[in-house]
Amino acid sequence: MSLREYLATDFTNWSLGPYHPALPGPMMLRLQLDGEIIVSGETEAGFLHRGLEKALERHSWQSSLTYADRLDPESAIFGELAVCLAAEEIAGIDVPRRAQNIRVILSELTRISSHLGFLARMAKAVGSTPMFHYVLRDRERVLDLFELLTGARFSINFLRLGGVSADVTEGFIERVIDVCELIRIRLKEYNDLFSFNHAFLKRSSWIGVLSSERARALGVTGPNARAAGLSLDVRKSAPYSGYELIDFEIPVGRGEGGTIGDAHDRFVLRLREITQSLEILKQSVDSIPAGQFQSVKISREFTIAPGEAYSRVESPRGTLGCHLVSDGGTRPARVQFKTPSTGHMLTIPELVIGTRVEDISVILLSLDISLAEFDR
Amino acid sequence: MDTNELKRKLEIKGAGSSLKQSLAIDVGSLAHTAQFLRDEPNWQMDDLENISAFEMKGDILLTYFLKSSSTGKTMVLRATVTPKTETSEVDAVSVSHLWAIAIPLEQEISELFGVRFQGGKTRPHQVLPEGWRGFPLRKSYVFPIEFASIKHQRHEHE
Repeated sequence: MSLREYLATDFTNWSLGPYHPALPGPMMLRLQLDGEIIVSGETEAGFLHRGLEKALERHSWQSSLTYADRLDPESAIFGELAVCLAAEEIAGIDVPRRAQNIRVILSELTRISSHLGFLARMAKAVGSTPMFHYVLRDRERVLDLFELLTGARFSINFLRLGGVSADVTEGFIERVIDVCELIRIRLKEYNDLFSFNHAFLKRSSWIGVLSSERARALGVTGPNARAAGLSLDVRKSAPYSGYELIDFEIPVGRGEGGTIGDAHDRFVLRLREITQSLEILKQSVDSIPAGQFQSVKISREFTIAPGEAYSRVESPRGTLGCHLVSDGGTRPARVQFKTPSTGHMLTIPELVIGTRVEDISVILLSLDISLAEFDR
Repeated sequence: MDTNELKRKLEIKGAGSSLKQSLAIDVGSLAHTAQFLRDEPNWQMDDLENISAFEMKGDILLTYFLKSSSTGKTMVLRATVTPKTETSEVDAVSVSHLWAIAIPLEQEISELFGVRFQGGKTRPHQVLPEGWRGFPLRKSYVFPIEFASIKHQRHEHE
């Protein structure tokens, strides 16, 4: 018997979850291992299913927005915005320019907040405690802005059909400018401290490589698709809320630390997206027009004529679709979300094959999956 | 519906000239039509954006949102299935062999609406807990007052 035959062992089956720090949320990851090399992987979700779409059917049009806010707690406004855009299309409600501008400001602040959360999770995955704390400290400044405008830090429940629930408060615009300036300075510090740090490059480059072909085939959207080289962004391809008036770029993966579409590329791309969000914010606050912040007042008995619409918004994780159906009643007949995490989850079995066990957490967290929106 | 008939129907609808085209088709020809729209050079609907389902007066309407990554055009395919009773399952055809993203979308519809996608890869109970009965997103669905020995009935405080 040769030494290789003598040392040969069977594959090991290993299950992670549903609650495990290496996972992006409650899910099961079933792996088959050859030593420390992953031979195959399979995911199972559903542990966070709340029946959200059913709940949306059981509440008035206005209350349903509050539930849509809970689709993804880290980027609450996008669930609200997707429902608002679809409902406004069916009902033929115009949104004042000022309200559209406020929606864009909140969207981009949420994108920055969500991406900072992503940076913190990636830092934790590789054991960089200083970076983790610095990023969360700065995210608090963004959450302060939400609190100033809406009274809440996470589930802001601020959008209304036909606009937003309140006008911007005094000093809000100045605070946004201050925070943008702070984040712009911090981005350089993050890069100096972490992004191209030798240890982080070793942990994140050349692993979890997603090609543009596979990204397209698996329905991946958002920063993960852009890191793979696909220039896809709903804000450009089907603009809403006045994005067509704003000049900004869509960053795509460059493979600076390793190769295009690897875990490091997904990290760096989100940093570059924050830069673009700062640019959008600057233009939005400079051009915020005077006028109304809401075009209609709706009551609990508010009805929308029978019809249906499909809205798309660019959430921090990718394209969020919302199919909304009205039967003419006081409640939505059907609200269905197509979340970006649906595509990201499909990539996991492909991306983990051939990698080592210690790379699982970096690969999974680099995809920025939200189990809250996937399970709903 | 054969390919020539489908082409004629699409020409009549004028689909492809606008971003909001929809086509209602028989559920039996769903996979064939979807494959035609994906592979035909004039259409190139290579991206399945979404599959949505909703119930209307006992019918379950399946809506497929297609998109061409090269032209940016979008299109909606719609097929209707009718369960025999409020609690019985109903069959449709899977498109997961054409688009991988259909797997989780069909899985959800399968569990929440009771639509079986023939030729698909749906697994038992991914969204709902093991042992759950009924299809919660049907309009006729009545929530159970007890599941796995846990009562869900609320009692008013005196």
